[in-house]
Amino acid sequence: MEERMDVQNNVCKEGICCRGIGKHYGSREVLKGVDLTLEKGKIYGLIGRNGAGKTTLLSILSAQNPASYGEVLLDGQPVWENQAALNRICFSRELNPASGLGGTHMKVKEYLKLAGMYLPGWDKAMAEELAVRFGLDTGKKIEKLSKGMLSMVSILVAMASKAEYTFLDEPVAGLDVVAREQFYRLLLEEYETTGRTFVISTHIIGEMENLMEEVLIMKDGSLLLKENTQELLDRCIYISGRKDDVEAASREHTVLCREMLGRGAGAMLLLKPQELPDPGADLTVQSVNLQKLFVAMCGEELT
Amino acid sequence: MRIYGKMMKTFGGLLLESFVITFLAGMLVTFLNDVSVTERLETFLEFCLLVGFCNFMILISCLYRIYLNLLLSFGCTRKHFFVSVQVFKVLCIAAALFLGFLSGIPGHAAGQAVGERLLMIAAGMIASGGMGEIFGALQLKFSSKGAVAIVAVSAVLGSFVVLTSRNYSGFWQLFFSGNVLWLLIQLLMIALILYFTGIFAAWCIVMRYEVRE
Amino acid sequence: MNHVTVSGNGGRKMHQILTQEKSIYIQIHEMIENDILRDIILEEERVPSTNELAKLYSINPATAAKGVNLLVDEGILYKKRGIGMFVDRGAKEKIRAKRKESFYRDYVSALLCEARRLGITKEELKEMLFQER
Repeated sequence: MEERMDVQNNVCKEGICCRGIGKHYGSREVLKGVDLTLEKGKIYGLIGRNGAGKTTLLSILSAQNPASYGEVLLDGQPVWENQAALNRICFSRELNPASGLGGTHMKVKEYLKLAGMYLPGWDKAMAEELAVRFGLDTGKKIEKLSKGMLSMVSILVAMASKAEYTFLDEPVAGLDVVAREQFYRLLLEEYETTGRTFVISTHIIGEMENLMEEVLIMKDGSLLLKENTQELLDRCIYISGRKDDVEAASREHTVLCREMLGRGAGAMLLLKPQELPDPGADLTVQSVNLQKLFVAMCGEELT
Repeated sequence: MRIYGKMMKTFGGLLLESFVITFLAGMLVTFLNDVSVTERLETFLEFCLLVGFCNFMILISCLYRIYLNLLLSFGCTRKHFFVSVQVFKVLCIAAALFLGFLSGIPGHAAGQAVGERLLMIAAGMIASGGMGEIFGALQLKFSSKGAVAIVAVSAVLGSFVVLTSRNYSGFWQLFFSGNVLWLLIQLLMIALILYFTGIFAAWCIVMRYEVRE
Repeated sequence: MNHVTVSGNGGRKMHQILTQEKSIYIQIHEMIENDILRDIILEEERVPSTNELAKLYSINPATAAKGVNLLVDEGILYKKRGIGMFVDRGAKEKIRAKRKESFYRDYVSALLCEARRLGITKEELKEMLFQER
């Protein structure tokens, strides 16, 4: 069920609410009119192509960057420059040592100490335990870390922050499959123990599909949809058969993509909630996974 | 608490060093009576003082360049950061003045009053604080290289203006009207202008700063 | 002959849509039902909690809960506050009856349809069925 943002403040009393968020750099519009409410205690997956605006959205939600227009509220209070709100939010970005900004000459343990000073819920014991678990050498300088280790550090900060609302931007980029599995396990453990709200952006959709309670799909700066993952997948089907049969069946529904092969055709349909496809044809009906759904919605037409 | 954390993390050590040198040397001098040695020491101490000023300038600009991005990513507000830097600056200036007072640094001419000494230190610290802030803010807005370029260009232009305006002797007479105290006060005023320009520039740039990776 | 057919082994879902890959929560639902049918979990015994299920299958606890709640709605499980989910008395029978009802729709109907499409006669079908015995 999508919330309608033109409702009164009742909707915005709980959770992180953003209304009409837009962001532009000069003439380039990176975010356009995003309305969104993040409820407490859920794991959200944020997916979108590179440049869709995921990182920008997360920055704005966590008040690290200002929006060009629109506002972001946490439990009804604006987050911008609001220390009380920021104390409950943690956005752990990908660390990039080449940027020359921030403490790239620092050692990991100094970086973590600094994190501990500014993140109010910081769990030092957990940070140390995770460092051991990840095999992270805290005496190493950040600029000397490998890509995988950098991802580990940002994951560590996010987890040990114990922030009510924790955002992770592509945390598993740079991790090998075993490390990724470790992360997913850690995420579930932490979620179970604390019930924190997580928003995790990722490109590895298949692996996170079953972990995200709700999925947010972004394309070209807009939020295409925000829905319970299972419910979304329930209403997406792929039908195939003879061309005319497929065409007839798809007529009243939203078609996400079509394929043609000779006299046969296939189409991915997005049904309305609780809707059933017209069984009046000899068609093969298959369910669709999130990755295929995403590519159909956000990929360009492949000729 | 957070300000303390920042102070810990900076190379406050270097800054303290220069003051300590000045302080100790000053103490030494008051125990010595040999004039020639005193004079050499004076220049050395003045040099130390200048180094101290430069240190402070670099320190402040580094605070901005290194810590703003980092701390914002940990959920620090821009206001808090800005205020912490200002408090830090004031503390450093106060510390410098205090050390200056204690060390009994001999002035340009022997027997200079304590007040003049302190004015000089104040002017120097405030000016370098302001310049450091301006430089730091420039580095945030434009990259480090860009900031250096801007400073270099303004320095060239500025000195050009100064050199050509030698003709307007009346203007300069106001400055070098002989009274050292008056000169120092004028320097202090210039320093304060720099200081507040720094604050203003930093405020504008910090409040709209965007965290980058 | 208007039917919706399925390729590969017949799949099942609560609605009339026949799908090959079932939603995760449906699979959880069926898995628990199968365990009850096989006496792996007996009546009045505790069923794994949603958190345990989530951890076991690396899925979101809310998804596991969805599957479990379906069973609660059907009267197969009941919740004991503060302790967990338990198998209701008569659950096994309930499951059997429910599956028997949908057996025709989910298996036989599809079988007949496919047979028709392949031109298999009723006699040939009978032969195949008795062969299995």
